Amino acid sequence: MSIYLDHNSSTAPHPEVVEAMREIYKKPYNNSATHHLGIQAESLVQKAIKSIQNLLNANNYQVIFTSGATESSNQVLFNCDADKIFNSAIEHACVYNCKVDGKKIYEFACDKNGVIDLADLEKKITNQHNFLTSAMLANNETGAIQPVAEISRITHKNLGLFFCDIVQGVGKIAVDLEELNVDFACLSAHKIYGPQGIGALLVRKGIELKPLIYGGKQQNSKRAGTQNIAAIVGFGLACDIASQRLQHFSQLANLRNYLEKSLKEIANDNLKIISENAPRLANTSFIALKNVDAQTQLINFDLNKICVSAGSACSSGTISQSRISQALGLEKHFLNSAIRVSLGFDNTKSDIEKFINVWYNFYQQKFNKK
Amino acid sequence: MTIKLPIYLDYQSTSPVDPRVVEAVSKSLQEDFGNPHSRTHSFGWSAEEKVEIARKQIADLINADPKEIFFTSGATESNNIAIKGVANFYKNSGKNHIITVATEHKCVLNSVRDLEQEGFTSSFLGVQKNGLIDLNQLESLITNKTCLVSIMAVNNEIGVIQPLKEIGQLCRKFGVFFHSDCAQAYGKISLDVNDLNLDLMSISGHKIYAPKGIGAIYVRRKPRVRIKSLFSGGGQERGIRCGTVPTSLALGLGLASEIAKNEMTKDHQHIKKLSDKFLKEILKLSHIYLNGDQTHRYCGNLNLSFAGVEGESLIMAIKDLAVSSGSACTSASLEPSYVLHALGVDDDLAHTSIRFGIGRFTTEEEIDYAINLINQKVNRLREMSPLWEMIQEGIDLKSIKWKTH
Repeated sequence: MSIYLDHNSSTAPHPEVVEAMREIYKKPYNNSATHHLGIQAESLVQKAIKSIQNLLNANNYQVIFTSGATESSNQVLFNCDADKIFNSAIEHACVYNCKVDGKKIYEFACDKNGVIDLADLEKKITNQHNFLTSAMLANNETGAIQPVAEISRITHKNLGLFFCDIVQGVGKIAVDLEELNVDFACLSAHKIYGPQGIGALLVRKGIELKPLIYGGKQQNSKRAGTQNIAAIVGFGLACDIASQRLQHFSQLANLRNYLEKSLKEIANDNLKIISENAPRLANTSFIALKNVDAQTQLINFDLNKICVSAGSACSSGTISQSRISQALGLEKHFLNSAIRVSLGFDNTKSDIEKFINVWYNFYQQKFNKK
Repeated sequence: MTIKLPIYLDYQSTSPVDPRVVEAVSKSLQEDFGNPHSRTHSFGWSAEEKVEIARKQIADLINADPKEIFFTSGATESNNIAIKGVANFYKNSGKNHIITVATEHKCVLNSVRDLEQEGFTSSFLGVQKNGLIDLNQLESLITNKTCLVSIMAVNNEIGVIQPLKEIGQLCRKFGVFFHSDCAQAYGKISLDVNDLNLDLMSISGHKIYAPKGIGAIYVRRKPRVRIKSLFSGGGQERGIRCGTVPTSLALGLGLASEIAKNEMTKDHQHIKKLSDKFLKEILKLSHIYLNGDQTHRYCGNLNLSFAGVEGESLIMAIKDLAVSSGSACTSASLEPSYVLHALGVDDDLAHTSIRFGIGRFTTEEEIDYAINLINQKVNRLREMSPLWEMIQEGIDLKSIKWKTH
């Protein structure tokens, strides 16, 4: 049996989520239909909306269901009422790579800990008009939690709009959209033990945002297409469970810290935990090993039936050097040598011990023969 | 045998997931949770393998190459990608004209209208009384500026089948790309992208007993069709459609496609038998009209107008049948169907129209029950209707000047 340590990439839906979806699949639900199955379906959708609003303290936000966070963020970047976009250097590919016709894209930096540099942001947006700031709540690779409330404050002070990719924060830390004062937020179900293929875009009430996908009048004409009822129900349920398990999630830090401490004892200065000194998600560790290619490490873990990654899954195809590590200005010998471990609810201490063991053997091979 | 009410006769709106697909998807949700784009571990590889099997199952159903199939969230998104994607990619070559048909699905019409806002020009081809396009008229609209013709296979409201093969030949002759919204046709009638000269095809999952939230787009490789993607991001689906491909949903669409391929004849025989019986019995009531061409049609979609009854009262009276008075995405509004309007059906009659959708899981008992119920209720509603008396007396309702009080 393999050990799965790649939960920031995707999580297995909770069994109760799968069960709920299985029941829905048996029924021909289309919430746009006017007969009573349509009405039942619509009430299920409304319930899921409530679950999302509750988890995020987002009663003042319109919830638009999309196919996932990529679509959500594209809708904001393409259609928000702004002609300039300021991205942080550590944004996810779906934000960072978004080339929008007619909008100018700028970048602001992060510091060595992988935390967004507020001074740089402020310098760049001061005296700008009609702009959007886009910054994530927690980084998918390093787990570094960003000063989003501050970013929001600085943005609004300069009369900009603020878009926050909260994908990696949801279900891992408490997220309060009112408090963070964001204008737009995107999230994804399959990162919080819900199904793949469903996500949401939250838009503060009163802000107009055109659709990206045109068609019927579903979702107040904000997103056309028959709604994915089963996945929406699964998503809502995953949110309910997430709000009950935040405390439980934070305890994953014990396993993560044990892991990091053990590796440091083995490798000392040959090892660097990226963003170690930043506030981090409890489950994430981005571990660089001096002058050892991440690819080589991954092959070794795979042979030993441990699933980790070198960073974001979607940018693979070819495994390129992590853009995030570059943004952090890592020393050259750590640059292409980091692997990401991201824990989930089902991981146990024995999983971590196995990981340490495999890592130790690998380390001996690489360093002690030199 | 007792019948479970209400009887579902709205298969064009959506279909229940086939039990075989439910089992496979539920199992997959638990097993294949890896991100199919994770290239670094077995969970990712295994998910990717499942996605690739599904891609092939879809390709096989339409005689395409798996490399020509891209997963989307559904046919609405596929239609948006096809129309805007082609238009935007080729706009710099001086081609800026798009042709579509007045009876297309809203998502096609609105994609084209959105392009008009951006400076493209468009032609909305009308249809004949039978709902089919006139090929000569189509040919006369094609100019050297025309980039794309988008014409659906099976109409969602009335079930007529457009002459795709002839349209495909015409488009090929003039070097224009041909896209077809096949949401209502894929898996139900035989479609061969090469035989039809299709360049792009939109595919939906939940119309063929697969889950909602998954669809696909076929994009021809030879000769190659290029498109500008609707969204950008991690570069998944070779840049045509970014975003994590939902493995279990893709697997569901693949399996549903394979089942559709293997059981198309059986499905068709079953649905045709029920549909013929239903139509024959209902037409025994007088002044009932089947909208759309009588022969070039998909048998699982019967759109009937009931003169002398009001559509909404009829739907209320036959609540035991889950039916719709138009496409689901517009049925929440009470405006008469733009599709029937395009056929020249007058508004009074359009208001009395109901679509009956028959599918794989419809039983003969259910059809018998429906026939009985409709007979009863239509007769009763007509007895109460002063209009019906006039219709029977041969009075043309349009000649009456109504007094307002």
